[in-house]
Order: sequence, then C-alpha cells, then structure tokens
Amino acid sequence: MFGEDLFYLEEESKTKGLGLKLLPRILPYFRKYRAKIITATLLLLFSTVLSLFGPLLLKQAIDVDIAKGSIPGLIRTSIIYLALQAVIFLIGYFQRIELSKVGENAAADLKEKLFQHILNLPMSFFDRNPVGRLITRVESDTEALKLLFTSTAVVLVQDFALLIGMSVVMILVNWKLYLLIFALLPPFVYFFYWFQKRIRPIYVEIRRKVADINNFINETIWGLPVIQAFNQEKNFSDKMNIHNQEKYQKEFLGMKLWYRVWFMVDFGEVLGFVLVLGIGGIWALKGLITIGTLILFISYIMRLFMPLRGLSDQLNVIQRALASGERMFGILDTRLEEPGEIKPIFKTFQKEIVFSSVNFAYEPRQETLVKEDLAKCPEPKEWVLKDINLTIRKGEKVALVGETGAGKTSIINLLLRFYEPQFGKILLDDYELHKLDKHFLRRCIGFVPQDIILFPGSILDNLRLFDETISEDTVYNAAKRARIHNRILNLPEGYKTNLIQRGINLSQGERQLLSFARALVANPKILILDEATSSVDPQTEHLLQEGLTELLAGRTAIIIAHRLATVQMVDRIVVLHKGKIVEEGTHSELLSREGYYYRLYKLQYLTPVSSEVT
Amino acid sequence: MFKIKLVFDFWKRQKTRLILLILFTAIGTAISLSFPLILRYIIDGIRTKLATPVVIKFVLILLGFGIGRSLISVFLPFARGRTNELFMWHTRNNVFTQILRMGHRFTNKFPSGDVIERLDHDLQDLSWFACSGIFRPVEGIFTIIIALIILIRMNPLFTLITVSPVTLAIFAWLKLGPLIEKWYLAWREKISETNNHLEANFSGIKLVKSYVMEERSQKLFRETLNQRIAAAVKTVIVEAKIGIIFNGIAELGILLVLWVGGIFVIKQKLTLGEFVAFNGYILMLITPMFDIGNFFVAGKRATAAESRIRELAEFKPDVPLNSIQDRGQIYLTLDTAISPTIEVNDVTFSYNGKTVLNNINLKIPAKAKIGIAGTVGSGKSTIMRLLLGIAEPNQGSIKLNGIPLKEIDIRTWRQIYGYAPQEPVLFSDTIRNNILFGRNANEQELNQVVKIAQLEQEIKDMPKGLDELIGERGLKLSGGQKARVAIARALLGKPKILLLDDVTSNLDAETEQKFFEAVTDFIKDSTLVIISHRLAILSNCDIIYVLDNGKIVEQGTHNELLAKRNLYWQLYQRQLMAEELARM
Repeated sequence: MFGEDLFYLEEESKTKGLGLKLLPRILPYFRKYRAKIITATLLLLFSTVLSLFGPLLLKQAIDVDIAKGSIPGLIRTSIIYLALQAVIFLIGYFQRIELSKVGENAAADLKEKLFQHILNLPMSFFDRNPVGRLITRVESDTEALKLLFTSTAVVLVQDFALLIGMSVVMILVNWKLYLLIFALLPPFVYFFYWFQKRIRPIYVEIRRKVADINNFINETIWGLPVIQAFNQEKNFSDKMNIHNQEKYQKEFLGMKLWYRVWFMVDFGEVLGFVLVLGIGGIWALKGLITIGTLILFISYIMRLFMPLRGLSDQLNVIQRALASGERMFGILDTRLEEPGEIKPIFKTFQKEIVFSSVNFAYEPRQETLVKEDLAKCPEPKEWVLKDINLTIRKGEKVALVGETGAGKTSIINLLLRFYEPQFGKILLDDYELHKLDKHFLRRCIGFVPQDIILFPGSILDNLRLFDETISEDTVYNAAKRARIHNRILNLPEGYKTNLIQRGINLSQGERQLLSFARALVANPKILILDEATSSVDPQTEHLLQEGLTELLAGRTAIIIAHRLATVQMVDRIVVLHKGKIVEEGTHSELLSREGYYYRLYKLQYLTPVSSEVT
Repeated sequence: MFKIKLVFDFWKRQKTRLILLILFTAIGTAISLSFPLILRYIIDGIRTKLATPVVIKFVLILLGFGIGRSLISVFLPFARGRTNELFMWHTRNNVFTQILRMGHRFTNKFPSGDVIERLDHDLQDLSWFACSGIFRPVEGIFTIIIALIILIRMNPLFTLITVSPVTLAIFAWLKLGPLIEKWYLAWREKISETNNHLEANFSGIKLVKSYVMEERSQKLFRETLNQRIAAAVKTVIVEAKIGIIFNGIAELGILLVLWVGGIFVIKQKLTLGEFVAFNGYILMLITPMFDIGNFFVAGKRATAAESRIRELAEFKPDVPLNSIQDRGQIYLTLDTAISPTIEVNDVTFSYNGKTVLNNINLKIPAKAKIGIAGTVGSGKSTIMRLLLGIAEPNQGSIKLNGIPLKEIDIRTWRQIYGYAPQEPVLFSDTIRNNILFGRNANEQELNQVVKIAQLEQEIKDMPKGLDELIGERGLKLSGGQKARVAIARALLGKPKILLLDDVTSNLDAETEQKFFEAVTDFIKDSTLVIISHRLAILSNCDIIYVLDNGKIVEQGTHNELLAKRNLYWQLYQRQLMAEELARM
C-alpha cells in the first residue's frame, strides 16, 4: 500500500477566478495578528512612498544643486538621501521580520487546528486517507496559504502602492509625459488577461504529467523483477523517454507563452524609454522640461516594469493556495467523531460488556485515486460481523480465536468505538457504547496492538504517553512488572533513550513487553490485547507469559490470542469463523468437543509452524 | 570548483549549446550595458543644445538596441529554460535506465517515494543550477568587465572611488551565505520534526484515540511548531540583515556617485551625462556581485542534490549485466536453448546477513516438471529469482547445459524463461499490452494464452475487450483476474522454461484444475518449475523439492514424499485441515 497517496493527482481548484469565497474562512486565522498585520502593511506603504523620493532627490541634485553649482546644496541633498535610505532600510527590516512572524504563527495556528481536527475524526476517515496525504494537508497546504498571505499579497500591495505613488509624482512633475507612458498600460492589462487564461490549463497539464512520471517510476520499481525477467528494460526506458518528452513539450508550450510576456514587458520598458527620451528629449531641448525630470521618469519606468516580471510566480502561488485552501477546508468540514454525552456516575467500568445481535460492515472504501477507477468498489454491506451475541463479565478473560478475516479485529474495533455497528447494540454497564462519552470509554479500556507504536520522544515519554502527571516511579514500576525494566536500563540512555532517533531495533518480544508496560502505566479496567503473531525464543516466551500474567491480574481482558499458553490461561475462548461466533468455552471443553476449534487448534498450534522470516 | 559530474558530462555533450549560450550572454550583457552610455549622449546632447535630429538619432539607436535587448532577453532565458528541461529529461532517463537494472538491495534501500523525490525535487534543484545558475556569474563577470571598461574610459579616478565599495558585496556574501545556509538547515530540521510528529500520530491514530492522548499530542505538536517558528524567524532575521548589508552597499555606491559625482560635475571634471551614466552603472553592478556570491551557496546545494541523484545511478546492481561489454561472453544460440538443462550446484544466497538459501542443489532436465514446496519464508521464491538471474548466488553456481550463468549474456539467458511471480505485477496499460509486454505475437497466439489462463469469458465481457485499461497496478481487476493476466503473460511465446510462483492461490479449485490441465497440455515440450501451497497440484510433477529454512529437506514424487510422513506430509495434512476449516 506504500505511497499510493504520492500519486494521487491533486485536484485543481474548482473555484474559478480569484476564489474570494475562501477569504472569509481564512481570515479568522489571521485576526489574532490583526494589529501586527495592519502595522506591517502601513509601514510597508510608508516605506514604499519614501522610496519614491529617491529619484526625486536625484532630480533635485541635477536640476538645482549641480545646475547652480552649489556644493553645500549637493551635500545637503546627499545627506537627505542617506537618511531617507536608512529609514527605508530600517522599516523594511522590521516589517519583514514582523510579517514573517505573523506568517509563521498563523501557519502554525492553521496546522494546529488541522491536526487537532484530524485527530478527532472517525476512524473511517483514516481508512480513506493515507497518512502521506494527511501530512501533505497539514504541512504543504498551510504553507501554500502562508505564502499567499505573507509574500504574494504583500508584493501585490506594494506594487499597487508603487504604481499609484509613482503615478501621482509623475503627474505632479509633468502630466503630459505621464500620459505618454500611461497609454502603454491598457494593452498590457489585456495581454495579461489573455495570457493567464491560456497558461492555466498548461500548468494543470504539466502537473498531471509530473504525476504520470512519478506514477510510472513507482510502478516500475515495484515491477522490477518482472521487467528484468522479461527483458523489458529497454522498453521501459523508452516509455520513460516518451513520458519525459511529453513533459518537455508541455513545458515548452508554457515557456513559449511565458517568453511572449517577457518580451512584451521588456519591450514595453524600451518603448517607455524611447518615448520619454525622444519626446521628453525634444521638450527638454526646447526647455519645456528639465533634465532632472527626464531622469526621474526613466528611473520610474524601470520600477514600473520590475513587478511585471515576477508575476508568473505570483500567479502560480495564488492558484496553488486556492487549491490548498479548498482541500484544507474540505478536511475541516469533515464531521468529527461523535463525542457521546453520557458520563456515568461511576468513574469506571463496573459490571459487564454486552454485544447483542451485532452486525457490522466497513463502509466501502472510497478510493481517491483517479475518478474512473472508482467504478470498482467493494459491494456495500459485506458483513464482517454477523449476529454477534457476547457477554463479558467484569474480571473475565476472554480469548478471541479464528482464522485471518474471521472478525476478531472488528470486534475490538467496535469495542474501542472506532466504528459503529449498523445493527444491534453494544452495552457497557447498560450504557449504549455510542452514547457514552468517548473519552470516558477509552479511559476504561487499555489497548495493546500487535506491534508497539512509537512516538518521537524518549522511552519514558512513550510509556506514559507524554502524560507528565504520571511519576517516573510509576513508569519504572510498570516496566518492572512487564519484565522490560532491565532491558531498558541496558539501553544507551536508559529511559531517556529515543528509540527512533537512535535507530535501535528491539526484538518482537521486547516490543510486545514494552506495550505491556505502557498498558500497565495507563492501568485500565478493561484490557484489549492483540497478541503479536511471530514466534519468539523460549526465554522471551517465558518473559511474555510472566508479563501477561501481571498485565491481566485484576482486569477484564479481551485477547486476540495467537499463543498456546494464552488460550490455555483464559477463562473462556470465543471462536469466530466468517464473522460469526461458532463455539465458546474453555480450552479443554472446546478440545473435547472436537469441533471447529479442535481443528483450528491442530492447524495453528500443532502442525509445523513456518520458519517465518521477519 | 564544484565537482558536479552530471552537469559536467551534460555540457561536455552539449558544447555548441554551451558556446552559443555564453556568446549570447555576452552580447545581451553588452547591449544592456550600452543603455546608460546612450543615455549619457542624449543628456549631454540636450545639455549642449544639440540639434533635434541628433537627439532623435540617439533615441533611434536606443530603440534599435532596445529591440535587440528585448529579443536577447527573451531568447536567453528561453534557451536556458529549454536546456534546463532537456537536462532533466536526459538525467531522469539515464538514472531511470540504471534503476531498471537494480535488484532487491536497491529497492530495499530506496523506497519508491524516495526515488521519486530525488528524481523530482532534487533534480529540479540540480538542473536549475546546471542550466541557469551557472550562467548568472558568467553574466555577472561580463557585466563587471564591460562596465569597468566603459567607466574607466570615462573617468578612472571616479570609477575607483565609486566602484570599490561595491566589491564588498562579494565578500559580504561569502561570509554571510554560509550563515543563511546554517539557519536554513536548522529550520529544515524543525520542519522534518513536525512531519515526524504528524506521521507518528496519524499512523498510530488507534493508539492516540484509545489512550485518549489527543490533547497531549496537540500540545506537543504546538511545542514543536513553536520551535519551528523560532527557527524560521531566525532565518528571516539573518536574511533581512544580509538584505540591509547588500542594499546598504548599493546605496553607498549611489551616494558616492551623487556626492562625489555632483562635485565633479560642478568642477567640470565630469559631464552631466557621464554622471547619469555612472549612476546607472552602479545600479547595474550590484546584481552581479550578488550573483557571484550566491553562485557558491547555490553550488553547494546543487552538489548535495547531485550526489543524492548519483547515489541512485551508481548503486551496484545485484546482478551485473553480463553483456559482452561487461563480462559475459556467450550469447545463447537457439541450439543451446532448444533443450535447456539447468543445474543448481551448492548455491547459497544470503541477504542482509541472513541466509535465505543454504547449499541448494537442483537438477532441472529439459521438459521436466519440477515442484517446489515448503514452509512460508523457506526460500522458494528466491530459487526462482536465482534461476532467472534477477539475484545472484553468494556461493555456488547455476549452469545451463554446462555453461555457467556468469558467462552468458543475462538477456539471452532470461529469454528462455516465462515467469509469473507470486504477486501479479501489472502496469497501468491495456490487458493486451500487459500480456504482450513488449513482445510480438499474433492475435491467434494471444487468444490462445488468454484461453489457457481462463480469461477468455471475462475479457469478452469487458467493454473494450483486450484493449481495456486496467488502471494503476491493475487496480480495476480482481485478485484472481490479475493473477491470470500475469499467467497469460508468462505463457505467451511458449517459453522453454516456465516458472510459476504460487500463482493459483487466488483461483477457486475448479478454475485451478481447468487451468492446470490446459497449461500442462500447452507446454508439454517445455520445462515447468512450479511453487504451490496446494500440494495436490504438485502431484503430477516428476520431482518435488521440499524446502525448510533455506534448505532442501526432502525430495521425491508426491506419493513418495507422502509415504515418508515427514515435512511434506505435515504440510499436506495442514492443508487438508485448512481446507476443511474453510468449508465449515
């Protein structure tokens, strides 16, 4: 299943135009930083306006100081220029830092919000969305929005202010000359409109082509043995060549459009120069305008055309951010897991768990790959559990056994309220499970999955799951009871060891013991244990049994059992087959009955267990 | 300067392109640099009250140069951009072609996501540097040289005064560039930390929920995010400081022009036009300084990207190509392959320090039907991979009619086989192309294998028949259909030796039976090596090898092995029980 999310072609923004509809939803995340944003924007505008004075001072130097031959005047102008630049730099410096702080903080807020929301979504959501895709949502999509607001928006505001400011100055200095330049603008506006309409589909196609290539690489790597066995290396490398060529051609189309724009911009600038120098020059000869004015106009024209060159990036950022925003809010709009209202008076589990006539099917998995591939969905309502009736009394230890796909995991999934049954009821102390406060329920229950799930952090953190209200002694004690304390002490940094960072591989048995310790720290009333399947050496087997005995003491337990010792230890075995309970009883009872369990037992525990590779 | 082999090799093949690009860069730079000069003549012309036609003449020259500049300023990035894409195309192709030779060790070391990342983002970084990045300093050097010549000819003393502070920019960048890099890396570190956090929580969602740690996780996430913000802001602060320094240096130049230049003009040591030209040139000199400094930083990043890409291409394949060029000598002729006898002598294969096959001896005579049985993970599939030459034994030898595999061109060797692996490998293409798989066959041959693979009816039911697209990895087909398409592929062309690796586990008993009758009939003149968990299927084999833990523990016919009441018998009993259970 690895990486299927990698090639999931991100849908393009469905919103046409500027997608202003998204704004009211995004803006609240920036409200907290309103004061800072306004200050930064004002500062930005201020320094933009100030920067307009640079060429004006040059004009002053040429037309007044130099013309009059006044060295003190020149020095004064130079000092003003210096001071002006210093102020602009300082403002720019602080504005940039402040704005980036706002951007980073707002992006972090968005990430946190998304993260929180995702953690509280129902399990079915995680079935539909591979981890990689969720990470992309939280990471890249928020970053795209950040870029839009802290970079592109700023640039656009600045450019706009510059345009207005320069226009005002030019009109004031010489409105006739300004009109000459202004006449150049309308064709540009039209041209950009024309261009952005044409470039969009090309961008989409390029992105699709990149997805194709990545997909092809993925498939090829997966199929390498077969490709080699059939001598198809040449063929595949030719196919890759074609993919690459197609991408190249698409890029080429995009480039051709782009360079038309570049030419227009560049040529526009030249035309501006020529107009100003030609007509302005003649006017200057006639003494209608000064040389300083000419130079002022020329330096403004250069500034006028600069932003146009960066427009491509901006267009791209806007498009991506819009698509990102849509996807992000798509997740935020997904309904959360029902919290459940009932908080029982008793702080915890008192009496019994009852499954009564439970039928359950997983919702068909909506593959989000390519639309046409959706056609092939599993039949809805393929029952995974059929008519399950089961009562587990307080203190009882029950083993679930059956072949793969018999429905063992589904029972514990229901019990943990990861899913809800379509029919029937599950009761905990007479409360319907889905009406119970989910946190109350889950605090009653400790879950030990087949393999330990490690989070970034030390062993200590992992055992108490970052709950710092749990003392270190409690953790040590639990680890001792789980028979893993000594092993932990032998690690390079003991309980402070970060297993992931250090790349330390614990054996399967040790990992299971660590899981036991984690459950012992949580100290739940009900324990759900999914036993690891792999065989371990006799020494570890012994430790596992000791640890398990400690873990089960005084608890109600439901165990998906894989070990002979475990099924012999429990009070009752529930035998599942094709989603139904077929037998119930103790190990010896069931054996003497010589029914399904008897055969399953022989198959699983007596005939040679494969020398499994790990 | 930078030992970027891929880039170097690329340009070595594209010498003409390189020379043209450099030439046009030089011309473009020269034209751009002529602007302030023309401006100077116009202004001095206006100043000295020249006749209007003269000014107009200069303006027309400006227009001509302007059009020239516009053309080149479009042509150059266009040419570079195209080269950029070309570079990506070629590099991706080359690396991909290398990857096609790789075996298990490669795929284990580099998950496909990693390969894709390297051939996408890393390649983008590298190719930008290779095709645009390296021209920046070239342009910069041209600019500096030409501008200096013009300026010195105008006024050497003034040039010295105004240009010298600008050169500080190079040194500033050399000093500060690494600093940015350092903070940037620290920031990246924090970004991957947040990603690790996300990964752990989303993969471990069941644990997060069942231990009610949502709030704690969120708090931790926030802490990581806060550290990330701090790192990001630090990077921005460094960048902002550098920005100030650079712009400060630029403004210092302008200030000097304004001040010293103004005085020079007043004292009539400089014309006003020259003054304006100087102003223009100083502005034009800043970017090159920055580009030259930046080149070193970008170069470092590109070197890193390149080594990540080259790591893929230069990975040693599990099995050498054995082509004539490499070390193989012999092409199989039709005669040698017409009745191939394969011998596997004392073969040991280990992987990651774990012995997968231990001292295996097999004899596969031509036209024999060989069965392989054994426990899960006992090394059965590995035997097939060794036979195919997809993996190479650590010890021992594999021979065809007495010729060692190592002496035969691997491609000719593989031609004698048809192979269907345990997990059917299908590609997003039509059924037809998945079966043909790059080989030629007429419609009749194709229909024959489709029929044997029991696919005939199902293909008829599909709207486009054989030309139906089956989606990524055969997504649109059921497990059984996928297996049978893979089988049809293996059968096509009636291979001399057919290897079937437990291909029927997805078929129901009836289809399986029909299938085997048809296959046996079809390839009665070929060798068959078959792995199966359904031991009944092996009952027709001439000999069955039983594997456990990488060793052959038993061999014989089905009945002989059952009579031994050993592992094979146990496996058989186990299977009977499993079937019984399934029927209950």
